[in-house]
Amino acid sequence: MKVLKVYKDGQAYVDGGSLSIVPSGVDPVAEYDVTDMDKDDIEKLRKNPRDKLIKKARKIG
Amino acid sequence: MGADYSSIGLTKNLKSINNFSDKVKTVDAYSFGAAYEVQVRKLYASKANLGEFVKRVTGGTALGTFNLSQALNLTSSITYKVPHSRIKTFGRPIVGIYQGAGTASADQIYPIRGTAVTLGRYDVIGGELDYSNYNGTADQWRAMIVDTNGTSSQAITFVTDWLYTDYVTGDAT
Repeated sequence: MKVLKVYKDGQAYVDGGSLSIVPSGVDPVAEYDVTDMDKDDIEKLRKNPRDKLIKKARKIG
Repeated sequence: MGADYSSIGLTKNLKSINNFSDKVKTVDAYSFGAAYEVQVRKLYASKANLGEFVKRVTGGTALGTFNLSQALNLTSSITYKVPHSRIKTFGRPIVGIYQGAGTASADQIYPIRGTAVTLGRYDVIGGELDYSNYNGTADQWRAMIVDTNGTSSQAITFVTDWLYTDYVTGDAT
């Protein structure tokens, strides 16, 4: 499962999938399942998790 | 032109028209293999095609900074694509970690230090399969990098490709 993790200050990282880099030991403020989303859309959300594309993702945390 | 002995129950070669050998069509192994996909639990072979047994797949790059935490978790995995995704993948990662955005060799932190990297600035820990995370099918590489300077806006680039053994004749990702 590919998860968009949104941290304080609005920073976002994508965890899971074939490659990921995320802050260690820090809990995200929100998590979204982006497994089925288009690669470009995920990248847009990583750069700006407030993008309206976030409505396509399922909130999981 | 052959003679016709069918009226007395014989073929043109003077065999019985009911003889067994003329009724069985022989299929050689090559034709059989081309017509059917054969699956067995064990394979006994005197010669196997190992020329393309190990393949390379391009992974990607990921960027992170230390501004939320002094450490970053780095993970990469490889698994066969559907319909082979339930089969164990065996691979070997081609890994690079760099300071800044990009993959200039001078900025390489791991596995060896580039000329622009201060000795002792970073610690990379791990680079193994993770007992707590391994799912039984995907091969993986998991590590953590620590910035000994503390939290910072230093960007880190993580890049991996994978070598994998293609024993199911399928693509991996």
